[in-house]
Amino acid sequence: MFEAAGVEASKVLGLFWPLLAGAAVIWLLVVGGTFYAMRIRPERHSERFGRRLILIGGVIAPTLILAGIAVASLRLMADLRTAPADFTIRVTGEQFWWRVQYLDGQGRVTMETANEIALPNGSAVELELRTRDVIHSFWVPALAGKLDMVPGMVNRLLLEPRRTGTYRGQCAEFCGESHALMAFRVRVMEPAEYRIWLEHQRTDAPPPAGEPARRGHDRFLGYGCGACHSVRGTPATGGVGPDLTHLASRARIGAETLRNDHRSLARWLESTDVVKPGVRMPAFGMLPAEDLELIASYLEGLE
Amino acid sequence: MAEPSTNDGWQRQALALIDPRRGLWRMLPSPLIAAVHFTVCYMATSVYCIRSGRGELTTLNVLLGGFTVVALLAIGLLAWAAWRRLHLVRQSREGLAKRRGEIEFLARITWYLALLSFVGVLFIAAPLAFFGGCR
Amino acid sequence: MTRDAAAASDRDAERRASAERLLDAWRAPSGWRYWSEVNNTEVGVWYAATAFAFMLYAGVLALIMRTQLAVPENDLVSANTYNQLYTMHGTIMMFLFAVPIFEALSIIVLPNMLGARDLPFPRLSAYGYWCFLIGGTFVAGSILFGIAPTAGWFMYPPLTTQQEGVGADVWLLGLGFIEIASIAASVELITGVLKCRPPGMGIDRIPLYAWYVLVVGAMILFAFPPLIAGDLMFEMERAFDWPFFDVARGGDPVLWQHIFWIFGHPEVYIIFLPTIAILAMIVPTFARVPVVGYTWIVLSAAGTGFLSFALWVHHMYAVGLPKISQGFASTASIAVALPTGIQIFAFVATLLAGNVIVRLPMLFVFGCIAIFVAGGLTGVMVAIAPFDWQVHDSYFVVAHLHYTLIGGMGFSVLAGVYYFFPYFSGRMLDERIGRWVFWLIFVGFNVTFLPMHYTGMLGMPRRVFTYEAGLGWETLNLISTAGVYVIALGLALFAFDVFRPRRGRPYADRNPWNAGTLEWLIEMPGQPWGVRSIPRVEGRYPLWEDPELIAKVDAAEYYMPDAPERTRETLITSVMEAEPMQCMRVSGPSFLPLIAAAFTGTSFIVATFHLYTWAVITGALAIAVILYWLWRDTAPIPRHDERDIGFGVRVPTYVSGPRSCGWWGMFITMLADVTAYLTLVFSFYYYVAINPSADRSALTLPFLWPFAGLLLSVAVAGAVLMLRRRGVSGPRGAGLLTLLALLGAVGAAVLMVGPAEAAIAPTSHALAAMVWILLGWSAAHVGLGVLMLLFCAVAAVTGRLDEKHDIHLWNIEVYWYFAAFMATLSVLVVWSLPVVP
Repeated sequence: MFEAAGVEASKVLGLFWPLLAGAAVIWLLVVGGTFYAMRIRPERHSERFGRRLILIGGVIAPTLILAGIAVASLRLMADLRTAPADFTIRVTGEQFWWRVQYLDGQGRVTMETANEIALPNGSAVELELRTRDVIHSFWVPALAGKLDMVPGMVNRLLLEPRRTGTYRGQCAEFCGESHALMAFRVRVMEPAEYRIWLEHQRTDAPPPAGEPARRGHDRFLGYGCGACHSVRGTPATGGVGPDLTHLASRARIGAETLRNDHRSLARWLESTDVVKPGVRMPAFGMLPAEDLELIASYLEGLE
Repeated sequence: MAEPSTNDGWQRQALALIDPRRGLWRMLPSPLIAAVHFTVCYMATSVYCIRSGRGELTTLNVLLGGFTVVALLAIGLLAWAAWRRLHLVRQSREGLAKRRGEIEFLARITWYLALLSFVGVLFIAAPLAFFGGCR
Repeated sequence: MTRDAAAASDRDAERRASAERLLDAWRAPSGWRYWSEVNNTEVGVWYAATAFAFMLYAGVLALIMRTQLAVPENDLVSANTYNQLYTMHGTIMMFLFAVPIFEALSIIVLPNMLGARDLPFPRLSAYGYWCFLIGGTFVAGSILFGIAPTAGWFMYPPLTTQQEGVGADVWLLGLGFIEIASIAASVELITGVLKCRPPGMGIDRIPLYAWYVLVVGAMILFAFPPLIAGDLMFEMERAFDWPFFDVARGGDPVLWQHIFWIFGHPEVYIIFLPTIAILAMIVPTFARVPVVGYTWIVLSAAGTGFLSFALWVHHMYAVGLPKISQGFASTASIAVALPTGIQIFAFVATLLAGNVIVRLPMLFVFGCIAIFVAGGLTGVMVAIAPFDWQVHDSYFVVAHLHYTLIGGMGFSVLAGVYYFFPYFSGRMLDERIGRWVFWLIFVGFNVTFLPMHYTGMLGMPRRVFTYEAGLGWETLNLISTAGVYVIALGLALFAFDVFRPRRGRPYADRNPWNAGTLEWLIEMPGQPWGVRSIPRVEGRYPLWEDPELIAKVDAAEYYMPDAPERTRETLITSVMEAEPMQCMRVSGPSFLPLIAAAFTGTSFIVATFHLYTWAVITGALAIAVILYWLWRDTAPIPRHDERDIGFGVRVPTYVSGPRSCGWWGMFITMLADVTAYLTLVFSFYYYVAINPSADRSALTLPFLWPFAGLLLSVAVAGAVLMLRRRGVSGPRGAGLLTLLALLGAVGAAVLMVGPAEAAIAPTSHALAAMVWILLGWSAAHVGLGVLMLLFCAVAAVTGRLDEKHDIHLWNIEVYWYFAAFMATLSVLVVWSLPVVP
C-alpha cells in the first residue's frame, strides 16, 4: 500500500501517517510514564495526582482523541468507493485463479481473460466481484483495500489508478490448499496503450505457427483440453478453466505461480498437483512427454 | 445528639433512594439501554438494506436519530439519579454507616457506567450522520 | 493461674483436634485415587499444567510454520500440512490455552482470594477439567495423524462445509465440547464470586481479580453459546446436509461469520481481561499502595465487557456489508479503547502513587504494558474500516493480534506465574533466570512481530504456506523467524525453571511479596484446607490493614475453624454485604466426574466419525453417570439443620431457592442455554430477511400439534411452580411428579409431530431446517425436564425431597420456566412464518 498508485490507497495512506505519529506519541507517554514511575522516581506521588491522571489521561483526553479519529474515519469511509465508474470488469474467484471478464454498458461480456487485469490510467473502474466456489478476497494493495467474493453476493469495488505500472494482487481470504498460490497482476497503462491491448485481447487466437505448434494444437484438441478451456477461434470452448486465447501475452501462468515459458508450461501440464496442490486441473503426467512438449509449444504461440 | 432536621431529611431521602436489596442489578440499566440502542440501529439498517437493495437511508436515519436522542435522555436521567445518589450517600451519616461502602461503590459505578454508556451511544450513533445510503 | 494454664492447654488441644479434623476433610487422597480429587487446588493445577502443555505444543507448531516461511518458496512442509499447522496453532492457542488458563488460574487462586475453602461446585470443575483434557487431546492430536482441520480457526463455510475428511468435524465437535467445559467453569466462578466471599467483603471490597472473573464469566455466558448454536447448525449441514450455509438452498455463509465473530470478538476480551486482572493484583503489591481508581477499573472491566459485543463486524469489513453497518462497528471498536485506556492509566497512576520496588513480576508487567499499548494503538487503526480494508487478513493483523494477545495475555500470565509461584508451590522462582527469560521473550517477541506490520502493509496475506521470491518480503520474514527462535529459547528456559525439581530448597517466607490480599494467607507450603479459619474482612487489603491477621487466622480465631463431621464445607455469604448465610457442604473426592467426562467425550469423538449409534449410547451413559453423581452427592439431606461457625453465629446448612448456590448455578446455566437458543431464533429471522421471495407455504404447520406441545410445556412449568409452593413429599408427591413427567414427555413428542406431519424436508431449504432445529431444540429441553421431574419423584419417594428440603424442586422450577419459554417461542416463531413479511 506504500506504492499508493490508486485514489483509495493514497487516501488511506494519508490517514495512516498521522495515525502512526499520534500512536507513537501516546505510546511514548504511557510507557515513559510507567518507566518513570518504576525506575526514575519510584517514590510516592500523591494519590490525588494519580486520580487526576486517570481522569485527564485515561478518560477525558482519550474520549476527545478517539472522537476525532472516529469522525475522520467516517468521513473517509463515506468518501471512498462512491465515484461513478467509467466501465465494469467482472472478476470471479475460483479455486485458485481469477476469471476476468470485461463488460459492455449492458453488462454483456466482451472479452474474457484470466489472472491479469489491464486498466487505463486516470479512469474509475468498477469491479464486479463474484465467486464460483468458496470465499475469496480481491486485494491489490497499491490500488485499494480488499473486498471479499462471497457466494450469493455481488460485491462492487472501485479502482481509480493514477500511476502506470504493474501491481501485484493476491487472494486474501483463505480459500483452500493453494490459497497461497492465487495471485494476479494489474497493469495500469496509458489510455492509448490500453485501447491497443483491449483490441488485441478481443481478437481470436492466432493460428498455430510452425510444425510443433500445429501438432500441439491437434494434441490439445485431441486430448479434450477444450472441454475445460477456451481458445477463441478453435473448437475449444470449455468454460471451466481459464480462457487461453492469448495465454502467451500473460506474464506468468497458474495465477502467478510459474514463469510463462516453454519449460514451465510443460511442467505445469505434467504435474499440476505438485506445482499447485489441490488445483482442479488434473496432472497429465500419464501422457507421452513428447505430446506435452508439443502442447506447450502450441500454448507458447498464443500471443 | 439530635441531628438538625435537614440532615434527618437527607438521611431519609437517601435511605429511600438507596435500596440495597436491589443489589448489583442496579448498575446495569444504562449499559443495557446502550446495548439496545446499538442492536436497534444495527438491525434496522441491515434489514432495510437487505430488503431494499441500494435504498436510501435518509428517513430511517432520522428515525434512528430520534431514537438516539431518547436513549441519551434515558441514560442522562439514570446518570443524574446515580450522581444524586452518590451525593446523598456521601452526605448522610450513621444510618448508612455500616453499608456505606457498598452503597457508595454501587452508586459510583452506576454513575460511571452511565457516563460510558452515554459516550458509547454517541459513538454508535455517529455513522447515522455520515451514510445516507446502503452502499 | 493454673486454671488459666489448664484452660489454655484445653484450648490448644481443642485447636489441634479441630485442625486434625479439618485436615482429614480436605486432605487429597493418595495413590491412584489422587485422580479422584475435585478440590480447587489440585484441579486448578492440573488445569494450568494441561493448558501450559497445549501452549508449548501450539508453540512448536508455530516454530515449524515460521521455519517454513523463513525463506521464499520453501518446501519444508506441504501446503496441506501448513494449513493444518496454522489452523491448529490458532485453535489450540485460543481454545486450549488462552481461555482455559484463565479458568485454571481462577480455580486455583480465586477461592483463596475470597478466603473460601473451595468453589461451590467442585465436581463441576473436575468434570470441566476432564472434558477439557479429553476434548483438547483429541483436537490437538488430530494433526499427528494428518487429519486436522485445514481451514483456519474461524472455519468459514462453504469451504469447510464442502471439505472432505473429518478435519472440520474434529474442530466442531472437539471444540463444542470444550466450550461446554468453559461454560461450566464460568457458572462455577460467577457463583463463587457472588456467594463465597468472606464475611465483611462487601462488593466494594472484592479483590479486582474477582471483579474481572465476574465480568468475564458473564461474557462467556453470552459469547460462547452463540458458537455452540452455530456449531450445531454447522455439524447438521456437514452430517445431514441441512443447508444452513448453502446459498443455493436459502442459506448464507455470511451468517456463520456473524455467529462466529459474535463469539469471536468477546472471546478476545475474555482472554485479555482476566490476565490484565492479574496485573491489577500485582501492581498494588509492588507499588505498596492500594490500587488507585478501584471503581474506574471495575468500570473499565464492565464497560469493556459490554462494548465487546458490539465489535464483531470489524472482523468482516471486507465482506461487503453496507457501509453504515461497518460504520457502527468502526465507531464501537474505536470506543472500546476508552475503557481499556482507563485500565492502563489506573495502573500507571497506582505506580506513581506508590513506592515501587521492581521485582521479577514487575518486569513482566512493564513488558505487558509496553507491548499491549502498542497492540491497542494498532487496534484503533484496524478499527478504521478503510484502513482495515487494506491490512485485513494481512500480516499487519497477525502482528496486531500477537501484540494484544502476547502483550496483554502472555506477559501478564508470565507475571502471574512468577507472582503466584510461591502460592502454588511454596517456593520462589529464580530471579536471575527470570530476568533472562524476560529479556529473551521481550526481545524475541519484538524482533518477530514488529517487522510483520510492515510485511503486511507490503501486501503479504495471512495463511499462506509460501511466498514468491523477489517481492521484498524475504528479509522481513527471515527476521521474524529468527525472533521466534529467541522466544522459544526464553520459553524453554522458563519451562526449565518451573519444572525442575526443587526438593531440597527452602520454602518461601509467608506472604513473600508482602501483598495485601487474602490469597497470601496461604501457608508455605499450602495446606489442603486453604485457610485455617475464614477471617472477617474490613477493607480491600486485609493483610495490610491488620498486620496480625495471618497470626489470628492461623490461630483459628475466625469462622469455621473446624470440620465436626469431617466433611468438606464452605461458607456462603450474601451478595451485597457478604454476611454469612449458609454453611454449605461441598463434595469430596470422586471418580464420577472423570467417568462422566469420559463418556461425554467418547460420545462427541465417535460422532466425529459418524458412528451415531455409539454416540447416542455413550451420551446416554454420560447422562446416567451424572444422574448417579447428583443422587449420591447432592440429594442427601444434611444431618444437622444449623451449624455454629464461630462467634456464636449459627447458619443453616440447607437452604433452597434464590438463597442457595444451586439455584444460582441453574439460573446462570439457563442464561447461557437461552442465549444459544436465541441465536437460533436470530438465525431464523436472518433467513427470513435474506429470502424475501422464498415460497413459505410449504412450511405451514398444522395448528394442533405445535400448540398442544406449547400448552403442555407451559402447564408442566406452572404445575411445578404450584407443587413447589405447596410442598411435595412421599409417594403422593412422587406420583404427582411422575404424572407431570408423563405430560412433559407427551409434550416433547407432540412438538415434533408438526413438521413431520407437514412433511417438511429439512434438506430442502434453510428455513425448513430451521423449523426442525427450533422445535427439536425445544423438545429436547422439555425431554431433559422430564428426566429432572423423574429424579425428583425418586427423591420424594426415598425421603430426600420434602416440604423443607426442596432445593431440587426449586432448581427444576427455574429450568422449566426456561424450557416452557423456549417451547412457546419456538412454536410462535415457526407457526407464524407464513405471515411474516
